[in-house]
Parts: sequence; structure tokens; C-alpha cells
Amino acid sequence: MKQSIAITGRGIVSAAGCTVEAAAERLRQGWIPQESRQFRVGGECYDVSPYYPILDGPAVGPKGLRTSDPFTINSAAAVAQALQEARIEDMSDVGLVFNTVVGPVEAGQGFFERVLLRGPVGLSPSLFLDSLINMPAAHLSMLFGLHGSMSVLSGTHPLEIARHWVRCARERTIVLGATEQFSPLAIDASEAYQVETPGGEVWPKLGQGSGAMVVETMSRAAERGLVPMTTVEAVASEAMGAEEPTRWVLQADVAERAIRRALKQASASTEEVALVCSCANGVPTLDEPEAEAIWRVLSERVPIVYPKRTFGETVGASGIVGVLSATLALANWEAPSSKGLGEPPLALVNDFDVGGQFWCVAIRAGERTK
Amino acid sequence: MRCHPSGGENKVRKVVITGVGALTPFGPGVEDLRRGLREGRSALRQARGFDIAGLRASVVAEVEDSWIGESPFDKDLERCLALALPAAKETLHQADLSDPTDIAVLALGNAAGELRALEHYMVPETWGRDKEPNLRSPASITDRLGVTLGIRGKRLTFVNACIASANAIAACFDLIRMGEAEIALAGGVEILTKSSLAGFDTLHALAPRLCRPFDQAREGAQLSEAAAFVVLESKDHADSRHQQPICEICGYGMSSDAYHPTRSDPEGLGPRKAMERALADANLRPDQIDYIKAHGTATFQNDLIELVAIRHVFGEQAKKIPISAPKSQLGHATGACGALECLICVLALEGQFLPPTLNLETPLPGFEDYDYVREAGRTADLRYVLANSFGFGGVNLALVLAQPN
Repeated sequence: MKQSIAITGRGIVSAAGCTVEAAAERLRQGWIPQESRQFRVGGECYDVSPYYPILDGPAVGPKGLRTSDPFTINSAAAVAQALQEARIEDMSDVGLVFNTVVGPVEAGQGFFERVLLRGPVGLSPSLFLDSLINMPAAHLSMLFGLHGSMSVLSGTHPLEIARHWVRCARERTIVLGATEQFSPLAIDASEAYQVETPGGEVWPKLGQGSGAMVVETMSRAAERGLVPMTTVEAVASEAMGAEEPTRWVLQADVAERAIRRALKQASASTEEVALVCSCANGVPTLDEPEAEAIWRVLSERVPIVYPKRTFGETVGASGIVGVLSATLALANWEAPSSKGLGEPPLALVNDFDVGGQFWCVAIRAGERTK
Repeated sequence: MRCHPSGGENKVRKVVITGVGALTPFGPGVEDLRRGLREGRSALRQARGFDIAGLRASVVAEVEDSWIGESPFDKDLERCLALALPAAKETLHQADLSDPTDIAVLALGNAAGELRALEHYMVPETWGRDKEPNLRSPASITDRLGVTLGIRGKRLTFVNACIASANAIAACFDLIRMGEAEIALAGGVEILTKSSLAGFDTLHALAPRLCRPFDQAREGAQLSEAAAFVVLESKDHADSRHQQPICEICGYGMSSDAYHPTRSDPEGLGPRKAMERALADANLRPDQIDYIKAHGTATFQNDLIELVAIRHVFGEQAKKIPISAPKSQLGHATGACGALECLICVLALEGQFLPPTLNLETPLPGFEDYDYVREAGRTADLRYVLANSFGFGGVNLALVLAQPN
């Protein structure tokens, strides 16, 4: 059954800048981030495969954050932006859904090296705690005083859970967060997932990043006097079944089913779709089936934009970053890589998890964007 | 159908459990688990299956490799999958689901991923030799389990510490109750490793000798490994295929302490809120609960806070409700404990039997009159049970289960 959810706040820390405005401007420019081959951990610098580091990132987290782990600092900075935009004052019943696939591996790498190379004696508790995959979300709940339900996901779109909480009346306001920071080992290991194109380019390029959104029931937003900038109309997913789930490999049928389900859930026709925010990351086995699926459902008339060109492959953060990019495209009434878009009433935002799950989120522009 | 008790958008459906499966330190299946609980045994002993050099606390509850049987997965480097697969298969078999393509959702709770593989590849001798990092993440376990079982439905992976697998069950409950799915497989898996023991020990959270929940002399938790799953199904769907429900899930509640990474708010506000929300979601009064399966880790903080929260929610009635801590028998399976202990509640309802709290000699001051089902389990009339799960970072989830009508 259709139920709209209001997006009332957004935040981003990324390779395209660390404010929504900066990211919006670079998206508009079709900007491509600068690669780095060095990864700094504490005082040490490691040589790594090329990736997109965060641009102008925060050196420290918001006041009150009880960790110096960069993963959590970036997450907190993004959530702080989103809460500020949403003008949330009472956090006592605000829920939190957080997603990451790789997790705080920079801290994890430090913990494992310490335990395995020097033994467990004299280990610092914070070294262990910072390595736990759920701990960044816990820090967010503590920092912002979020006392509602809290789910921490791995490889699942945060809107998937948020939507059900709203439908079941579990929460009326939910903070969504997603972050990937990587580590020297994680970046090196990611080579297994990369492919080299005939032109000698290697894809995907990992991008460090953190995205955040505040979503609310329409009634809650109205009570607070807010006109939503964008609404979420559908969250549909499909999983692949037969393939070994270790690569950027998508089947067009799977993507097509998810897109059609999203349209059905949103009670929308194909004619209403004015923009598709693709999950393409430069790997042909992902990009080509997705394009094929979009073509099958929407033909060639709909502009397609590629946020990963500007942010890199942010893995677990890509679902939120994609939706955020689409809200920016809708707000500006034009797609970053397209011209003459007119007034797009509905955007489809695709996302893909390397394990073989494909999401299609349908969002609609709100009055505030005008 | 009935209206959502907490004011949700539309009509909701009954959700039942029609299959259970487990691989636990009691043995390779639900029957071994049932027997171990009934006999009041403890599976906790000195670790044997992995390196424990330098560890202060090394009493754990392990799964024997021989119980895994033939597996397409490596019993060490892919241990989560190796444990999860037979437990999931048993669950599907018990639910009489021969065609896994019927399953709309696979939801898994796992807090740490394939940690033994990570340990293996983090040492200098093997650094960087593995080029499959995603094979070790919790999400990859869900994906590979789904592919191996032939499940084509939605996959959800929860990693919120010790409530992860309870959250997996809760999410499937929502999807089925709201009519978005008919049938789901949900559960959790977690394994023992040297680094996880070392980490928990830095927090002084582990007991070197006995696991003694709710005892004044409690020293901490003892970790374990396990896999446990349930099949959730709409009552209508179960009826349509003549599958007898084992129990019903009536509701759940979640909350966040937002207080401290490892310590709980002294008033137990987070656990209180989770229990109150669960009762409201199930449309039940506190006096209708017949048994509370405590999170009961035997850590200094958790047990006291949990009892404070129970007292607040249930008042004087709390003294009449049996409360027990299965971790005294099976240890703390972290990301898997929510599903494992949900399954224990299912077995309690099915057998009208209360599992015991072991090693409890001197209850906490102010809570001496509570019924902890000490030392030996017993039969009881059970209609509704409450299953608490709390986790590091201040996450709380309480599930309400019931005998099927």
C-alpha cells in the first residue's frame, strides 16, 4: 500500500565536498573527484590503490562525540547537517537506521593488528569498541540523544527499514545514516572487485563518504509546519538468486522487476518518471543490465544521471547518497548531466549491493523545492 | 485481521512461527537444544577449538565441528556459513518448505562477520593474500546463505550487536504483519574467535569461572557460538498450506539508551521503553505475561538494570512472573543470541516448560523475592512470554510470543 514519507533533512560528507550545497554545486558541474593513492591512518601513510578521499572533511566531530574515529566523525557531521536542516528539536522519540557494508575497518584493522601481533594483554577498551560495526550508530544516538528504535544494517538500504517503521507506526521521525571510510587493507582488497575497461580505466573507484537524511511521516512534518522538500513514494528490492554474490554483476530482469514494483508501490505510471538516478559505477556487468532494465521500463525518453561519477562508489553509503543526489536534482529542476528537464514529478533512484540485491526508490518533488 | 494497536496505517495480520532450527553448543539440532534445556545442563567449558593464548577468560560454549556435517563451507574460515546452513535447512525442513523460492525474505543477524577469516588474513604472513573482502562481511553471509539455499527473496542483514538477530525476526514480523510478505526465514549466527574474546575481556565483561546471572557474585558473561532460525509466516498462509503454527509473534518494541557505549542508564529507561512498546504493540497488559526470558548476561551492569526495568514495567507483579537467563546454560552468542533465545521461548511455549537460571546462589539486593527458575527448569502454564535482548551501544529489543490459538 502506498504511503508517502517526507524527507525533511539532508547531510553529506563526501569526495564532492562536505555540505549539501557544495555537493549540489559539484553535481551540477559534473565534477569528477581527484584520486588519491595514499591513505593516512593516525601518523602513518600507506600507499594504496586509487580511491576518492573525502574533500574538505571535518578534522574533528561535533562537540560531545566520544570517539576520534574518522568513520564516526564523518557520520556525525552528516547527521548534524540533516538534523539542522530538518529543525528537529525533540529527539526523544526519534529513531535511527544506519547502514554500512565495510564498517569502521580503519579502527578494526588497528584492533586486529594489536591483538594478533602483540597479544591481548594491555589492550585498550576503546580500540575494541571503535572496531565494532554497530558502534558508530551508537555514538550517533548518544551524541544527538536519539531514544527511538535503532537498527544497524549491513548491505541493506536504510529506507527499507524506515518505511516499515513508519507504516507500522513504530516511529514518526527517523534519522537515516550510511558511511564508508575504508582502510588501506580494504582498499587493496577491493581490487578483487574492480575491472579494467578496454581503455585501461579501472572501475569502480571507491569513494569515502557519509550520507544522512531525516525522514518523517507526512503528518509529523505537517504538525511541525514543514512542507517536505521531497517525499519517498516507494522502496522496492529484488535479489539475484543463482549467481555467486561476490561481484558487481546484475541481471536486467532483476532490475526491471524492482523498477516495476517501485512504480506499482508508488501508484505511478511510467509517464510520471522524469529522472532516473542510476547506480552505475563504471563496471559493465552492472551498468549495462541496469541501462537495459531502465530502457525496458521507461524507453529512451527519461534522463539518467550517475551520482557515482561525482562521489565514487561509496558502497554502503551509496543508497542514501543516491537519494540525496536525486533530491538535489529535483530541487534544481534539472539533472546534473542533463538539460531541459522541465518539472520532474517523480525520480527513480537505483542502488545495488555487491551481494546481488537491487533497490529502486521512488521519490517525488515537494512544494518546498519550488 | 485487527487494527494495529499502536495506530499504524492499516489492517494487520497474525504472524506465526511454523519452523525452527538450530546448531548450538548442545548439539546439531533443535532436539539437542530442547534436551539440554530440559536437563538443565551447561554447555560452558574451557575453549578447545581456537587459540586462547594470553586470554584471561576462556570459558566458552562451542559448537563441535563434527556437528556441522558435510558442508560446502570451510569450518574455520567460513564458520558462520558452515554453522548457519544446517540450522537454516533444519528450519525449512521443519516448516515443510520444500520450495525455497516461496520465501519472500531472508533476514540475518550477525555482529562480526567471518571473523576467523579476518584474523587469518590480518597477520603479516597472509596480509593481502585474500582478495575477497566482502566474503567476510555480515551482508555477504546473508547473500551466500540465500544463494546456497536457493532463496530469491529480499535479503536483510542486521549488525546491531546482541539484538541483531532479534531485529532480523522483528523486521520479518513487520513485513508479514503489514502484508508485504507471506513467509520469511529469519535468524542469526555468530562464532567464537580469539579477538572477540580479547575485545570483550578488555571491558571486563567476561567471567573466568562461572556464568551467574542475577547473582551478587556475578563476574561477567561467557561467550558462545550458535546459529538459530525461525520461519515466520502469516497465519493465513500457514492455514492455506495446512501447516500447524508452533507459536505466534504478537509484537515487539525497540529503543535506544543514547547513554554510553557500554554502560546502561541506571534507571533502565531504554529497556523499559522497549518492554513497554512491546506490550503496547502486542496489545497486552503486563499481568498477561507468563514468563520473561531475560537478556541476563551476568555482567555487573546488565543484570541490575534489567531487573530495575522489569520492576518498573511490571510493578509488584514482577515477583510472580518467572524470569530466567538461558545464557547461564548456553553462554552469550552475541549477534545470534536474539534468535537463539527467541527459539528457546518457542520451545518453552511449545513444551510449557521454563528453562532454568543456573549458578544463582545469592540474588541481587532488592530482588530476592523474584522467581528466577533457579537451578532446574519446571513445567508451567504459558500463554504469553516476553523475550528481552539488549546490546552494546544501548540498543534494546523486546519480543512478545504466544501460544497459537
